[in-house]
Amino acid sequence: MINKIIESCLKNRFLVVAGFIMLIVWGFTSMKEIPVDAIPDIGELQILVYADWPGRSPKDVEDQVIYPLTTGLMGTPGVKVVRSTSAFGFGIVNMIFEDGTDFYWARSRVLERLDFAKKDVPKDAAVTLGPDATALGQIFWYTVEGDGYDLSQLRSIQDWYVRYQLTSVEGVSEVASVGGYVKQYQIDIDPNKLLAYDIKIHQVIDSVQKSNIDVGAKVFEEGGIEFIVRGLGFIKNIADIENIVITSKEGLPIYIKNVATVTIGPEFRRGALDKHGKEVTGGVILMRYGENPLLVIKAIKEKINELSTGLPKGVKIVPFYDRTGLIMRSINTLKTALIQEIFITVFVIAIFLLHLGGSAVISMVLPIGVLISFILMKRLGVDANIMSLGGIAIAIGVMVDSGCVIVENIYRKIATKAKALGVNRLSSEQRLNQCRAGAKEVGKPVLFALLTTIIGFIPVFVLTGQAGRLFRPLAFTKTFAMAGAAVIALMLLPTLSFYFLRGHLRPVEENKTTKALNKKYLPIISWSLNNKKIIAIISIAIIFLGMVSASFMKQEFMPPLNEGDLLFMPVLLPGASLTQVMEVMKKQDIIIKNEFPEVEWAVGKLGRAETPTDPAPVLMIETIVHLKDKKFWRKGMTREKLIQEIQNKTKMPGVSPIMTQPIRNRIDMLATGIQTPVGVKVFGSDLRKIVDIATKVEKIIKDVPGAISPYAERISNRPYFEIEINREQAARYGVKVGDIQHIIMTAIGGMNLTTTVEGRERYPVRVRYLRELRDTPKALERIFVPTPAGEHIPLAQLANLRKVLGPAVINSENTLTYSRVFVNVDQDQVGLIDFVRDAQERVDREIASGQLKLPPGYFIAWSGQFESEMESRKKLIPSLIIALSVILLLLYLAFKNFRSLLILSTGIPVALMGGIILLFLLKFKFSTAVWVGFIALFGVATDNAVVLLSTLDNIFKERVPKTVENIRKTVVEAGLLRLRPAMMTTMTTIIALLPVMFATGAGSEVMKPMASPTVGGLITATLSNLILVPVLYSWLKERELKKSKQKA
Amino acid sequence: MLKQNNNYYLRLLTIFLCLFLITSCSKNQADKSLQVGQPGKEKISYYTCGMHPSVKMSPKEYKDGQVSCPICNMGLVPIYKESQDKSSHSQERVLFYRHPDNPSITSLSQYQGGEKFIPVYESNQGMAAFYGCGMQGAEHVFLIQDVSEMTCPVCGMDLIKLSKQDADQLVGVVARVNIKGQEAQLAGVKTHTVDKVNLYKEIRTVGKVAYDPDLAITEEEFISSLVALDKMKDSSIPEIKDRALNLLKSAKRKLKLLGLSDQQIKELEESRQVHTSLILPEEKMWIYGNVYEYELGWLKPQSKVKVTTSSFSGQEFFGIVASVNPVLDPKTRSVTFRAQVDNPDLKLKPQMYVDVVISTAYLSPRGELMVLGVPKRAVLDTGVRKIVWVQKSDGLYEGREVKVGPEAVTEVNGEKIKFYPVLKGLSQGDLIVTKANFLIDSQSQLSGSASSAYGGAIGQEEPKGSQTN
Repeated sequence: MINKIIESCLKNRFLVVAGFIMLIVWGFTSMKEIPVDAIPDIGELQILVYADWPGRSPKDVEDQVIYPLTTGLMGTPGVKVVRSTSAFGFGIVNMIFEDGTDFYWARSRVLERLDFAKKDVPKDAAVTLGPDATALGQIFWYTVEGDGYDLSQLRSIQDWYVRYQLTSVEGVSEVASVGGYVKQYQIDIDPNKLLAYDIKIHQVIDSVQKSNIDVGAKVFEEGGIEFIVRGLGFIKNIADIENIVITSKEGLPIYIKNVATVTIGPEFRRGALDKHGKEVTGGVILMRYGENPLLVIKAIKEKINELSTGLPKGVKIVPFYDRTGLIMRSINTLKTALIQEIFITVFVIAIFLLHLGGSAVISMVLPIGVLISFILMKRLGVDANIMSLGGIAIAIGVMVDSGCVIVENIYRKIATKAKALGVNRLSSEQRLNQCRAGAKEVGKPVLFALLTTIIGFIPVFVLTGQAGRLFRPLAFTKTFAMAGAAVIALMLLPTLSFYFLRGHLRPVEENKTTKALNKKYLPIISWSLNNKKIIAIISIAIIFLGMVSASFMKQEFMPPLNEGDLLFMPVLLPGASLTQVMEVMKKQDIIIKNEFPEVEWAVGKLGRAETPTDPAPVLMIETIVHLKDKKFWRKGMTREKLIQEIQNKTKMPGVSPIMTQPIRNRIDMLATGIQTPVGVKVFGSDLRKIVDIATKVEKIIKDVPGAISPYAERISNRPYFEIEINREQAARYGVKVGDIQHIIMTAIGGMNLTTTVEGRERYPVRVRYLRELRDTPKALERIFVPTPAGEHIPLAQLANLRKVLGPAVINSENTLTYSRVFVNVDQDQVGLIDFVRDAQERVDREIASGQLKLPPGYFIAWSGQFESEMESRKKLIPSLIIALSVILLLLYLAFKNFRSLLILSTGIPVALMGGIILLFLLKFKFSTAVWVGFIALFGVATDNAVVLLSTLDNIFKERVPKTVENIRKTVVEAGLLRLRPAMMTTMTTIIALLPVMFATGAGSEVMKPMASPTVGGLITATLSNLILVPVLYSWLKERELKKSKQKA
Repeated sequence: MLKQNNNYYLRLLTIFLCLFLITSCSKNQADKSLQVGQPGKEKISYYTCGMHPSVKMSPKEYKDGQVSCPICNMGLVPIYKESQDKSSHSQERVLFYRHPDNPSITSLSQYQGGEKFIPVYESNQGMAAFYGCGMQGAEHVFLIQDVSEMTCPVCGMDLIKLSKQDADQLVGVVARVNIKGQEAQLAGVKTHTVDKVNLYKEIRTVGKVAYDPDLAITEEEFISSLVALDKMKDSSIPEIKDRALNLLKSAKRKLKLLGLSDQQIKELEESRQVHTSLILPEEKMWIYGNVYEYELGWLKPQSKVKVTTSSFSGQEFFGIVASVNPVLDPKTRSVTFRAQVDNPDLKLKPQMYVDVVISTAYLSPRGELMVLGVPKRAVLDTGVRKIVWVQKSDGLYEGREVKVGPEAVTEVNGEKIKFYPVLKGLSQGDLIVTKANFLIDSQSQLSGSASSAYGGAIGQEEPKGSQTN
């Protein structure tokens, strides 16, 4: 079949060339359109359901909103687990779906359920589906600034002008406001005056609610004209509210202004924004799932330019986080690496081939191959990011291999033919024949090499969890690139060779590079064949050295990506007030901006932006520190040093200075569940009891060998002020509990009664007691509760008021509250799965013996990263076995004997150890990236050995040497024959990776560890292929000879 | 080019590779994690999470940043070992004085019985130990050197050597923490010296300027019955005398029911003048106000009263509470009081609504007017306990559990500041933290220097029987 393809391609040369030109154009458009982001989204597929219930405690949110909501949402198809968090004023339900579920499909399933689930939730709790964006969606942050404008004015501009206009930009899912104050009409009631006028608070509420409406009353006709009738009555200003009448007493109206003061003030807030010590307001733009961030940000910036003309004088929109920079930097790193790779590869080919046309033909593989992978990426929905582009980058060196083999072979054929015919140049007919013959000859091996590389990558495809999401795109693109290269090599290159390999071709043997190589190789291989033991010892030594280095190396999950911007995230302990946190943030921002010349700007956010994707509590500050270009830095300043200095200079007691990076942090913040290898979940209904049980489990697990600091979650407290209504007392005055609660809600908490309609803007109107009459426990005692008999009873006489400690947040999973025990495991000492089995046994024993009591309704579940490891292992091991056996089968089919397989497999450990030694020298840690690098290495490590072995077999078939010397001579001859192509393919692979190894830009820290195993491994693998393999082969042949002689 | 050297390219390649290896090796690839430990300077004791201070990981378990907080997955921060002995405390505080000849006689004042006593200083130096007489409270515990047979200057009992825990327990110390001066300054720590202050309580309420014809008439009845009695005094007919006396008695009772105190009735008896201000504007006006049952304890005759009215905003009228109605209004669970206020320019008119602020001095349980006071914002109160942070010496802070009385106010530099009277836990001269005390409390939890049972004023509960490493 391959031969047919090659033949028909050579027949229809014009069509082939035209087809590939079209492919190139298609590739370019795909490249332009493909969504580009810095890193792939490694978060789980989760749909957020967000419940907003302002002012309510975590307990209330959990009991009245989140619990009924989660019960309703359970059983949504495709859902793995439903987790929820109830915090002050809001709750979030995380619905985690199975990997591979379609995002929008999952959303519509949740939406279906939500309708039903909402029915048991209080009416005033706003339950919404989160935006159709993921943690990676926060691509752009900006502040709205302007001298001479106060924060509520700026916030109004942001809320009513900027926000909706930016939301209209294609690809934007949501624009959330943060910081500043929302304007609010505040009616502050003086309870003493209520008492004096004998007015009840609900009269005030009623009157305000009924005094804010515009109506329509159809039309009337007059003189053939229709008039539309309107009743106007919207509140427009403070005076409108002040003059609302509550009631009239003895003919005199009592207005709101008689019992309350009306002002415009800030609404209660749970977030603030600060720039260099000055409070500002701003917003965050969430990009829709699957969009192209570069395009979206570009459109946003255009929109901002359009908007800016319409802003009030002096007001401007200033971005303070822009993903473009990072994306461009990381893509540029890879782009430069790719271009450098292509050039270096071409250069290397040119040296080996010493023929310009030939080199040009081979190098065609690279740009077209890359473009083909872009087409496939676009078609199959693989986004461009450092991982997927990295896949192409590590493929470059291998991609040219097939091209090299084919073109080299055609070259040889033409040259030999010309020499045989004794002409300087062949006719085009002859050339075509030689092209066909040359391509056909190696067509199969080329396809075979491609298959082994792709099959070698199967284990990467089955990776699950974060590793899977991170490396699958890479596996895809590498496969795409390889497939593309194969297609080009088989279809386009023979045709191009026909056009370019004309004129006089110097025979390969006369090539200067070949001569130089041969001159070096000959003495080495001859010596080696005579000193087989020493070679064996060296090989064993290399393996031993590699094993020693491996034992010194550390492990990590993923080399961290340098995002450029820093995220300084100081946190305070639960209970910290917004004012206290604000003070810390302001001071730190001033210091960061003023004392570090490296800092361009520092904008801090405390608490939440008003989006479900930001669940940060008030006690958490997130300051985005944007650094200037490296050339403006002080001398000798490094990123690490800067981080250290910022942490030192802003050190405050009680504040933990955590330094992270914006994207990384967003992903971490939205990750739920257990992040340690092993976790024990204790489910139950009573928070205190489950914590007790969890603590006992912690103690049991502590004694299990291999456990590192098991830790049971404590209840993290924050102060509550509880008003417990005394039902007997309430009954004495004839007051219903609900009436008292209503008073508590309005008088203490303040309640938005209605919303003004002022053009496009809308502001809440709220009623509350005067601040000083409700902000201390003593004042709360004086809240009046009107009774049916017309009395006004202070709250203290109807309820017990007390300060207590309560939970700061309540977490639950699948509707049950739970407490977690986190366990790290020393995996050098004991395997994860063995550890879990051991720990489970011990806990079960304690339960059986009654040491650990589980009340009815309480149970224990085991979870953690070991689950995904188990899952991975379940798939990884079979896939590794399948991959290996398929490769071996293919090899067996190629050679049809086990001896060759044995010789080939010796190359693998040598290659592995070479990679490890290089990693050790470069001080990299073992990470999944490194393993992926190794998998890539195995695909190519034995390629040359295969070719060499087949050559050896062929030669030995042709003539059977009778003496040891002859055997050795023949082996040397075969080695010399394969030396040039072998060196060419390995050199292209190794040298092509050098730009990646030398890259310093964003994203290089992930790529380097991935490239090193291939570079290091190929160095040793080449040595093994060119020396160890011939040595072993000759040893086997010599033994055979000896045996046959003995027999004879 | 190739003629000169056949091995040119190979060599170039070899050199290239070697160079590359060398440069890569020399590059510092060590720790890419963003949490860089402070090298060399201080030793890291353990790592903890900024939001979950009960998470503790030893440097070994931290694994160079691979391990993050198990709960929130955020990076961990290092906690450095504190240098145990703080050297040289320049400021030494005089704790008490002792007799020059007989050290067992001690006193709180330097001069006693005409003799000059020798000061005993607080000492943090090596040999110093805690001494106390066994009584609960900071004033009974001393950190001194070389004590032999001294008595407690407060209660006169013998001083016994105490272990640190016992001393802490007696004083109520729950935690200690060291904070560098610079950091404290950055956090905005402000201190205040505990002293005796005058505290008073303010009760806000509303009232009306009295328009009480009933009372005026009753007063008139009372005066006329007095006059009648005077006239009848010499009457020989006992019945007439009795009747006048009865009349006077019933008028007196009526006055009492209407809210006049005995004192006021006596005054009325002497002055024999009806308070016409009850019906007409005069120089001194009556204000009727209501106070709730639970505030009754604070309402005393002679308490100062400040009256404002929306009619004359900004103007204040001053006076005193004259009497408190003996009967509670069952409808509103409140008590009416009467206050008499000055009415310059006759601005207050009967029936006017007014806002009333009553201020009453706080008296300590022993009846003293000057009491130890602590600013409200210095107290971290969660309902379970109240913690005050005391600055011991520069950089050393001590958390103490305190007991305080009802919230009251005092004036400091003309500003009204909320204070608590201190009942237990602090002594005069203690330097307490009034600002950023939340941060100090948090630090004590983070650094784990708190005694094991203390989880911070507001913090995480440590379940019984758990061990944190």
